[in-house]
Amino acid sequence: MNTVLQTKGLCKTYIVNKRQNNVLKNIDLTISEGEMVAIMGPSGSGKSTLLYCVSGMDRVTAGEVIFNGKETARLSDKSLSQLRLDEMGFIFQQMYMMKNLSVLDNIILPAVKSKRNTESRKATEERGRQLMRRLGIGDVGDNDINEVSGGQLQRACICRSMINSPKMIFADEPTGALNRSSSDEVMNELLSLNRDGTTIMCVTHDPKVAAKCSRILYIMDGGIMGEKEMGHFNGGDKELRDRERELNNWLMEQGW
Amino acid sequence: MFWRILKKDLKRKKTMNIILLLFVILCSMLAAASLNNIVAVTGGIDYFIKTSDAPDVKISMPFDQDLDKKLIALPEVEKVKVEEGFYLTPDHFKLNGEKHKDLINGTGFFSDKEFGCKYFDAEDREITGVPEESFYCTKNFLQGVSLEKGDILTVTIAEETFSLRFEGIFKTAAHDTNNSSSPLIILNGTDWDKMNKASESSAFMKEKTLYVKTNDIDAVTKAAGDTEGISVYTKDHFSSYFMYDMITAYILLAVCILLVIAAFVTLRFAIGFTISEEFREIGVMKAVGIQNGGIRSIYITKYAAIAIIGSVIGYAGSIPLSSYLLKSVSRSIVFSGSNTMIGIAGSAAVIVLMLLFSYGCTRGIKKMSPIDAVRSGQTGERFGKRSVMHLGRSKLPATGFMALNDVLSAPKQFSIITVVFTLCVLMMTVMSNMANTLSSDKPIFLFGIPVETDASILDNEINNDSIKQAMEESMKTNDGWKSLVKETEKMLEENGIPGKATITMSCIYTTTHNNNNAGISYLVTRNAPADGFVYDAGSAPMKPDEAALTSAAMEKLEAEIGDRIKVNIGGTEKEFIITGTFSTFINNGMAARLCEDAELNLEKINNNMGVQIQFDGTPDKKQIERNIEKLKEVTGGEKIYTNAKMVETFTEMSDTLNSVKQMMMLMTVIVTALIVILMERSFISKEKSEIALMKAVGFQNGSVIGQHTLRFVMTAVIAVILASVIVLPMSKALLTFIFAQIGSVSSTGIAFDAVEIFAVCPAILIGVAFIGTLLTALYTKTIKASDTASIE
Repeated sequence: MNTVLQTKGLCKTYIVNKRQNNVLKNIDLTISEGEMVAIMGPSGSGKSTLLYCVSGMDRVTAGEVIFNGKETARLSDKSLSQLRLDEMGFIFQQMYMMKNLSVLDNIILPAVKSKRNTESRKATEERGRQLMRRLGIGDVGDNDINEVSGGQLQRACICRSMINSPKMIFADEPTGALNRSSSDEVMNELLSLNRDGTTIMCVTHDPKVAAKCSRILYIMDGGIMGEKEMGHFNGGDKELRDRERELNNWLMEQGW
Repeated sequence: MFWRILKKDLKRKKTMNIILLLFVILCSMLAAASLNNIVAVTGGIDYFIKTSDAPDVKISMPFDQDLDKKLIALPEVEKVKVEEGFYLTPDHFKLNGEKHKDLINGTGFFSDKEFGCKYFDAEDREITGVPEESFYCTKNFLQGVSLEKGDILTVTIAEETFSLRFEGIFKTAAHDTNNSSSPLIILNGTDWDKMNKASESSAFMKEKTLYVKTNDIDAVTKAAGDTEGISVYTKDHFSSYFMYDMITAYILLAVCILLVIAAFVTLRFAIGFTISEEFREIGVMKAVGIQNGGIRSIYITKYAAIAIIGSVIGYAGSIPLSSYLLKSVSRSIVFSGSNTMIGIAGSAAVIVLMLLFSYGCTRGIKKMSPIDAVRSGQTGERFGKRSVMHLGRSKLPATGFMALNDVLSAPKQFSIITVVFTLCVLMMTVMSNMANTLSSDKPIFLFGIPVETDASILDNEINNDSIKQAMEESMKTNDGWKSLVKETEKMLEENGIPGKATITMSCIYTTTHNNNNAGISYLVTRNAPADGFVYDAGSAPMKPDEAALTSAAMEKLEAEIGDRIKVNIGGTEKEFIITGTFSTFINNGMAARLCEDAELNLEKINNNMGVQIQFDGTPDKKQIERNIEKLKEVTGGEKIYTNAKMVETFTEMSDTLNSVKQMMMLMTVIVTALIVILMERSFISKEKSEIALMKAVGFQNGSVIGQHTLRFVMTAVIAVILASVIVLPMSKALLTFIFAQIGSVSSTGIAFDAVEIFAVCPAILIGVAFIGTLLTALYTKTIKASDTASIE
């Protein structure tokens, strides 16, 4: 399988009040096309920092990050922005959206901005609506973002992340602000995208979410402490319970 | 705890607080300086008259009259001082060897043996005597020249030459020192005696001026009424001498008010905005149990501190600003010194207003709940859509769409900015229109001469004997003007610049209606039918017993159109029917117009506007200027002016207004820049999460900066369009109001420089908005995509 993302000796250091804080230490990881990888760890372990470093949203202090064959550490801010726009998708815990745009406009905004997109605005809008229908929110396109529920909004964020057919989606606690049923809906959508071939890297502290992923990376004190292959999740409550049990046991062994 | 929270807030929002402070300083400075300026000028005139020990009545009369002896005998008269003087025409003078070309009127020479009232030098020190072979002069003697102390005035009278050293200008409350009036010179008594003797045959006028202190002005006026050739002036006349100084002060006040309004609107917006963004802090404070009053007091204390510090600094800054503003009028007037209390009152008003704003804005705290801290300020309720445009249906590029959508989605916010920008443009353009109007021919009708006039000859020294003789004749008989008109038109014809000549003059007569009386200046323009002038109401006076009055005169006399007024002209009581109203500056708006053939008492002429020429055909500006040059060549006279030059010369405001205009433009640029920085920083603070999100999904720094800049540029463009629509009617209304304070004026035309008000000033505003926002928006570079993780 093709490698979508690879890091070698990735380090990230923050200096706060003249004190050095090594958040990430020599991280080596590889994510192949079609994988759904969960990054787990206790609070402050560096999960989100890892996600932002590998996605180019933050600069690494040392090491290499190779995304789709491009060494991102050497890219300019402009090129990184271009990369994020055209080849990556993002889903955040807080469901950030532009307040002055409708749900649909929020979704198609990256497509309108992207120079790679040569289709007409109308065609882009139609594509956006298609995505929304696929994710079950086809009827809220013209609503303001305050007029939809949390679950609908997060599905809209998923649509936005997909609009430019990215190589990889980065999700930072995508279900963190949702109730249980909305969380399940969102994860099912992500699984569906993954089955269609989208590579997903997901930061989560919820074993129920992580249990649906094909691989788990456990981070602690800035380093990857453990890695577990879970295989693809086919669906079904029993399989899910088994996977959760297996994961919990493994996490306890890691010191969770 | 209270102080800790406050200290943290001041530290955390340092930039915003500093900008707010700058605004308060600006408001305070402007409020204090403008208030000081107006109070100083209006109150200062009364102060000057009092300090000068100005008489209750001033009487100018021929030298050989002995009215002074008669007045001293009156029981109502306390004291009479007498000044004797002789008048010489400008051809008798040379300044540093050069002829004094720009002087219009004859100059009066008076002795320091007895001053009728107090005179002051340029430093406001009382002049008690003049050194030998020296002189002081009023400022209108210095028309078109600049003298330094020690420069020499050479006066040639008959065969004798006198050299006098310039000591400086002197200020007087009892004489008109505008360019339209005769300048005065005071000399040492010994020098005066010598010159007076030499001028026996050369002086065109000798007069006595009586300075009368009395407790019954009417009694004095009545006693003087029978004497031939006298002019009587009271303290009301003295106030009118400073009317053009008042124009500058009022214009300045109008523009300062606009500036202060813009600054206050922005302050109100900034305070309201910053408080609304504190929802999380307020929610947390409520959650921990702090009462509404306690929370409000934190913010009110913060704004009170900023207001007090800003006002103190602003007051300090207002002192040099006020001095600069007063400088434009202090050449004529002695002020009491800087008015500390007024300045403090202005600055204090800013503190009070700011406290009121912050008190009003913090009322919303009652409605905020602890849940607001959790829900990021959202209550879950919405009324009405926010998004106005549709990205999918728009053809605009993403950045342009976002900018326009932001403006349309927050109409209240951007409307306030639009209003402020509009005020900023108006400050520049209204000021420009006022400066242009007061150096144009638009106000010429307010000086009583026909608006069709192309040129005015104000020079008495013309090398055409026939015209010179006709000029003398015109001042002797009421028909004398015919020969002057004939000779002038003949001269024009002979020199290839044919035209029509008119002559405008006026006399002040006491006028009565019912039991009311007033000193009214009666205007006559010979060789121009009265119906050729503009009337605000009614019709022109076409018959000898008809008169049009100004509204101010009618108000004073409590008369209306159709009423009859009584006037004593040359010993004969005459009655006039009021036929209409008109506007004028003459005699502070207390004026009347008679028909072209009306008879006046020519010995009492107090205002002679010379000979007006209307060239045949409709010559353009360049042709008129060529004609005037020709006239100067032919007549040897220098004082032949276009209407615009007349206005400029008589009001002496052109230079002052232009420098004030430049100062106002600079202030507007500063205010606009501050507004833009304050508001853009506020927006960046509010939209931090959106900026981080945009960067996360792939927007570059340039796109974000472009969006922010475009928003303000769009708003500036809208403001410029709005200002363009209202600038002309607003300028007209303001100028009419200002003119109405010093004359009787119901409307006036406006002269404007289209390029300046429709291109230059808008470009300045848009440019400042663009650059200010661009530079401020660079701050968005510090917001990283990864900040989405840490944004609340």
